[in-house]
Amino acid sequence: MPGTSTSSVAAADVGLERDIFTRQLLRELAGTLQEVVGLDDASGYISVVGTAMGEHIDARYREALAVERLSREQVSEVLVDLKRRIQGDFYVIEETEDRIVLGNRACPFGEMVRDRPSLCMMTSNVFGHIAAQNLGYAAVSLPETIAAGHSHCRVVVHLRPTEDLPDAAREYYQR
Amino acid sequence: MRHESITSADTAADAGAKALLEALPEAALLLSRDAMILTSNRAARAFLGRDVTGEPLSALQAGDDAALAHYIDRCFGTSSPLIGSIVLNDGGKGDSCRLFGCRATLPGGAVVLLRLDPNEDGRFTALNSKIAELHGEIRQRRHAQAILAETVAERELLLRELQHRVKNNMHMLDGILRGAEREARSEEAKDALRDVSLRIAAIGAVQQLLYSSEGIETIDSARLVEAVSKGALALARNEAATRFEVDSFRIPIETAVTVALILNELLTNAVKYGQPASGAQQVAVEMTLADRQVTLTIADNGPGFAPQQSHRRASGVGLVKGLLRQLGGSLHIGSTPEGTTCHVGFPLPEQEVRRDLS
Repeated sequence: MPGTSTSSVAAADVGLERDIFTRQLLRELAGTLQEVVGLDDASGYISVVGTAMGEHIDARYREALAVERLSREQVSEVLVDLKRRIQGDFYVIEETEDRIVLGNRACPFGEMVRDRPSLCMMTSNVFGHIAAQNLGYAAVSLPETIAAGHSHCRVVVHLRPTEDLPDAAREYYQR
Repeated sequence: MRHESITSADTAADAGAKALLEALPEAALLLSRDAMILTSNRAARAFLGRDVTGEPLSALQAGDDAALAHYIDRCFGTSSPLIGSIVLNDGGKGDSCRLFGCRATLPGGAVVLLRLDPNEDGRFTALNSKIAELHGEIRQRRHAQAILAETVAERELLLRELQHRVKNNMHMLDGILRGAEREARSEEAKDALRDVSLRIAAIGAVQQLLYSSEGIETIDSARLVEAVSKGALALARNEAATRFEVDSFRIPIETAVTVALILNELLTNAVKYGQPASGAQQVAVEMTLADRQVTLTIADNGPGFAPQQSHRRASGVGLVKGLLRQLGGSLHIGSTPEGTTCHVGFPLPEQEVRRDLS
């Protein structure tokens, strides 16, 4: 009976909905980029997108909080909050004048981020842009990431340009 | 620290930075935040064809100035290279190349270091253009091929229909001749009508094969021999013991009709005149293909004959010789009191020789 067939298809447990579709799409896009142009260049492309996303998010928080610039405390809260809103689970591990160290138990890309380290440039650029635009300077390093196979992420946002910055840190400046 | 040889445009770059820039193998520019070119290296001058120091970056491109300015502004905000692209208008090159831009902090101030990657993108642009061109050509060819295939299929259908009608007409003609044979009063007339009927049947057999086979221009040699032999062997007063050894290969239609008539004549002679004085009649047919040469052999165990002594048999042989002239072939007859063997040889044109591997 046609009706039975259609309803069984609609009820089938295929695990597909918009969020999963979008994450899968991003995973495939990032994977294709990494394979075609290599990890470094793929990270460069994701960085461009990350910078744009950072601009959008920074503008929305400033507008919502009705401030010209975010304060030092607001920046820290915004970094955690923006991830929470997209189903990440970031938290502050350490906070000093020189740096903010954040941990993360759940990547917004979910399991789809595995073996896609280029997607981490989204976090680096969004965090780096927001911190630098509001506080003048930022350098972001990601010593541990779920994408690289760790159980959690560790993100360090340096707020002072020092000589002992890790080589892998990416620097961001106020524009 | 400033050096006398550094131009005024190098406001944000000192001599050390300029030296490092010159050492880069790739085309590189130092830009101010508002996208003015502060200095360029040797590779950039070679690539762009001139020294572009002092010009705005937008002067080099054919694209959107606002988008380029936005990209440079973003580059000013990070020390990690951001990837972008530019379509150059320099000298009408029209080349697209990738850009890697990042902030560089020099003693004189912050600038944007912009590296140009013309080779890869230029190559891909040309390659993509060529692929698009080839894709279009393939599409056109496929379209033309589809039309041709349709035309060929239509032509094949019409040809089969024609062959079907010819086959029916041949059967009708054969029926008329058999009726005339039954009504003829003299044995001589009956024989003549039977011979003609067999010849018509041989040609009809070829038409039947053409109509029923997959191809429309060639038929299988083994099936041809089988079909033609049926009619001729039916003439035997007592059933003859037969042996067939036939290679399977494709024979073109024009040649097949002639081969059918030759086989019919020689086989009819073998059946009619190759009956031994005692014992069972034996008839053997062989057809082989080697080095583009077809060899057809028909043998019987009859009493043999001398062509000048048997007017009727010689008449059939004359027809075979005439047909073989059309094929560029030859006929050799060996006749002894123990039997007669006819050897026929003729060539097949190379394009027509296709072994039937099925």
